[in-house]
Amino acid sequence: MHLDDLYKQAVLAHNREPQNYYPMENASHVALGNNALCGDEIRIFLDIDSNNLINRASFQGEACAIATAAASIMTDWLAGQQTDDAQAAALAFEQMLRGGEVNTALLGENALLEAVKHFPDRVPSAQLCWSAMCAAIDGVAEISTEKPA
Amino acid sequence: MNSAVDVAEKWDIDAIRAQFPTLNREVHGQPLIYLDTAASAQRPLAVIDAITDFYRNHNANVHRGVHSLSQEATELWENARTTMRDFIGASSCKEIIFTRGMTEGVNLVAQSFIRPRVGPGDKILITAMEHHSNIVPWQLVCEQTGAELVVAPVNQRGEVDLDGFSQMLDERVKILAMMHVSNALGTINPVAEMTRMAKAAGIPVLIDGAQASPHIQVDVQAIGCDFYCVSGHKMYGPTGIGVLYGREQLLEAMPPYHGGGEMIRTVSFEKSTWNDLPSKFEAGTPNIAGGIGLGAAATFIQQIGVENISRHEADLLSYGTQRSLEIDGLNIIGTAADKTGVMSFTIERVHPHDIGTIINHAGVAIRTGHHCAMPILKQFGVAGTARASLGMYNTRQELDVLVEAIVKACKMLR
Repeated sequence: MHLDDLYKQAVLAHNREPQNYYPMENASHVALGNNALCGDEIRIFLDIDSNNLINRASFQGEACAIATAAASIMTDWLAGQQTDDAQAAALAFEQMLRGGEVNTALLGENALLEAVKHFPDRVPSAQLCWSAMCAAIDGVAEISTEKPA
Repeated sequence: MNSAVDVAEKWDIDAIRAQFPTLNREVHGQPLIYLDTAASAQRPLAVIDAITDFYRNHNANVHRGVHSLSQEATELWENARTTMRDFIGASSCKEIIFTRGMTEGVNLVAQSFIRPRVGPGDKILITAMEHHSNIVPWQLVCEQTGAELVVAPVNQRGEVDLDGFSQMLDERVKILAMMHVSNALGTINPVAEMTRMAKAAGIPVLIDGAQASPHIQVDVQAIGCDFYCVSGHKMYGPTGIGVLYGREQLLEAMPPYHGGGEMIRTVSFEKSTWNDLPSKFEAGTPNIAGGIGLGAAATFIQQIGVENISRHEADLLSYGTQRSLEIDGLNIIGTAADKTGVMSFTIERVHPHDIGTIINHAGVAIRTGHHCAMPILKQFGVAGTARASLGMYNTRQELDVLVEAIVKACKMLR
């Protein structure tokens, strides 16, 4: 597997200029994801309305390029999704990183990270924001992703 | 092994590298450049051959039989103990306990020596730069006894603050446990001086020598410590084996750590009696091949000459540090005046994990992350670093490749 498949130009662009990178005031749901093994830490902020619609998503943290790009892409994608669709996508994303059969169309731009499955030690990096997002929806304040998916 | 002696006389790096078969392989189509010796060193043929020879020709249990193979195995195993005795400068084989590694050595001392001697109000003193393996065993003892773990300060170069340290030496401190050389920073601690200061206050001293034994001369009697632990795989030997040196008088007075075969003299259901040193602390069939391999590693280092290794690695450290500072935004973590070949660094706007993955594709193996020393990295305000660590087999050319690979990675990521 070539390095350029992991660090695609589009992924690198999200790392250089992450989208939705700010602490959201009045977020309805917040959770911190961390991976002590590599020192990654990402906080996810969600604005979810009473109909379980995610209006906005943002993030902040110190993390590697893969984790940062994944969070940038994911938060872009989340805006306008229902929470159960977001949770279903989290499962599909995990399946994809495990090398399973996944309809990547469901994942939109998040499928850019598919090549991470060929770099098992980097799977927790890509997974971090998704785990934090699910934790936020579930009302869990902090979650750790130190084991490969 | 004659070649190792020739090698030492004129420091023939090609001949040294030829002793390490792993260095011949490629990674992602590039020659392997192994800069992760602080995590685990590569093994020379002398070690591989010693292990193979044991399993092929002498395999049997030790101290168990009258038959020839058992006697040969016992002789090889005890010869390895003698080699390790000489390697670290102990005076008696009774003071050389084979363990699974440095971690087990610390746990043994924590449980058998310290646990019965401390209670609420007592203190266990470590330094801020310790590896988790010299923190957590003491935290367990503190939980078990109510003793308190106290931490000597480290300055911004990554050196122990000796004034702060000396102020912490009081009668409630029941042991000083410190590393000889830092795996995360490379700092060589002034262990002899610190041991003198502790002993003057009546405090026993344990030293974690895992990162010292492959790189600098170790002499436990010159240091004056009570306990000293090493790990085989850090010093070009096998994994799962190490040595704990303990002063005979202290070991004699300590209860066994593990119970089982070998460590007993007699067993009855009413009461068992313990074997003499060092067997008292070696319950069960040990890692025989590992011990023999460790002895071979120590002999290999002695034949190359640890002072030659130190000199070579100091030259590489100086060269590598100078070259790495050419990299835009690179910040070295750990700038002690006295260092072994460890270059721990961060780079602005580039995460260590990405560096590690990208340069791996250029064949360069480094460690990224917290290096099992989270507290000291936290003091430096970082969650992780990239770390290139040197061994006797590394070259200036390899460091050139490292620097070029990092520059390329930075270009890609920024």
